[in-house]
Amino acid sequence: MDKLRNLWRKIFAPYYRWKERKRMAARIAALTKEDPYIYK
Amino acid sequence: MITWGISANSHDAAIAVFDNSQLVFASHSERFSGKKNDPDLCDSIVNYANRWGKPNEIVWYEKPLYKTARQWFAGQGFNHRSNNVKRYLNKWNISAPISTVMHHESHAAGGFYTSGYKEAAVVVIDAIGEFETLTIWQGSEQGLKRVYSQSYPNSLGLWYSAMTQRCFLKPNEEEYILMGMAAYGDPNKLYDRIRNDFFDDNSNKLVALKRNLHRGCRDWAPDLTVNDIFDIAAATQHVYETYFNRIVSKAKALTGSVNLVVMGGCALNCSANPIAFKHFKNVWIMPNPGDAGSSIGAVLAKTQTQIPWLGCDLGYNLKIKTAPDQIVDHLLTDSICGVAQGRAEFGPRAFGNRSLLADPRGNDIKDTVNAIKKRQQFRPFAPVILEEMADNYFDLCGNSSDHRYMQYISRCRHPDLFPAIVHRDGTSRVQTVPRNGTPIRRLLEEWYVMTGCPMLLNTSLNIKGKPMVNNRVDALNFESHYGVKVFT
Repeated sequence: MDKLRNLWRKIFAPYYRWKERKRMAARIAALTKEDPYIYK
Repeated sequence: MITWGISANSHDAAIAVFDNSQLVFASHSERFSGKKNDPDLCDSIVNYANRWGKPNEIVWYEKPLYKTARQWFAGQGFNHRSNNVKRYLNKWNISAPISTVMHHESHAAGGFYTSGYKEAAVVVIDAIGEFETLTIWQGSEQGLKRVYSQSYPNSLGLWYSAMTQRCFLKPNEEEYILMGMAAYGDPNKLYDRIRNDFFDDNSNKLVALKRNLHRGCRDWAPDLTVNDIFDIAAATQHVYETYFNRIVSKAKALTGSVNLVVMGGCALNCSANPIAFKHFKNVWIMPNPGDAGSSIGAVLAKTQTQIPWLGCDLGYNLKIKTAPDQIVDHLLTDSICGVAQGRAEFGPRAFGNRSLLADPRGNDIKDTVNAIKKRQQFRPFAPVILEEMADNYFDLCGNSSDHRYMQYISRCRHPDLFPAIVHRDGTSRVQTVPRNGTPIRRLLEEWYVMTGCPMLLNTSLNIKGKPMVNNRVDALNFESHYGVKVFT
């Protein structure tokens, strides 16, 4: 089962990297509570 | 047929209602929600707009797909869902066929089709549209034709907002304070440094920035401290005026017109606006040239028809008119009072229907009004004056009729007599009132008869941090909050 999961994650590695970046960005934004962009 | 123009989901939501080709209502959402610069619509403005009937068509002020692409390009994430107009409007059960127009086209149409000019050069300067930041258009009876355009991140408006943030003010909101601060600094001390650090003058663009300022420039010049912000503000304003002059002269060269229309958030820079008269005989700036005014512009971009501009009284209707002699009697004894009557003004400025008025003579009144409104002491107030008398008191650019909406500063000829309405640099942001029989006109006439003074100090009627008074409850709240009589 683990092998299958690892294979899955290896194939979809770019997706998981993107997901992790998005999660981190959301976390940082929540911590700072300030939008760095001065214009939406 | 009822058409709604909507500008929302960004930073200052507004609705404009057209009954066929007649503009019958326009207001900022903030006046109804009570949240200053409310980016979203609210139930009460939608309900109020529905008094003219459910909309048959909605015109949205920008292209959401392009905006989504720009936000993604700028690293702001993929906001396809939050930019979906249909989904957004469904929150308020607004369901009608939706069409969209380009952001700068909304601005340009809002200015040109309310100007009364048959042909004109139209300059639009703001922070960012979808991608466009600066456009020049040629308006004619055939419509609007874009003759110059430049895009994100080269933006004069974005740079001004970044400098506003660098001076510890709120970007995209408090640029007017930076403009006011400029009079207290030395415009030449940091001028070259700012131009060299931010602008690339070797480019063939009108405005080329050396760096993307979308995230501000708080890191710029760490050696400059809070003591230097007045010099930063002065140099910023000076640099802005340099580029504004360059843009307006380019508009003249490209179009050859004698008429100019200026739109976009930067058109609120009343210190720089008189420069336009150096190049053009006639200048029109719609009184609400920012994104909220694009609610009108969006519909006009779709219909491409001229409408007569009948004034800013387009908002909530307080069906009350106080006799001018009552207000004058109060001003003669107390020097200051509020007025809330008729329809609320559409735009950031009060022109007499939601105004705090005061006697402009004497040395104490500026401090008194600043204390009431809890504003920075350095900020001046605007005078409202009988139009035919304005030339006697101010060196006006253009005609006195160009000054009905406080879009230009003018040098005051008697600063010693009216210190409250004169800024540090000797200028005033004049509002002239023609013989139109409006309540503010009758009040000024009565005031002139009683005192021999043809002007009053005029500032917006709002509690600090809140939007301008809209209805009677807001007016009474103001009265109880500050203890200043409001005639309503």
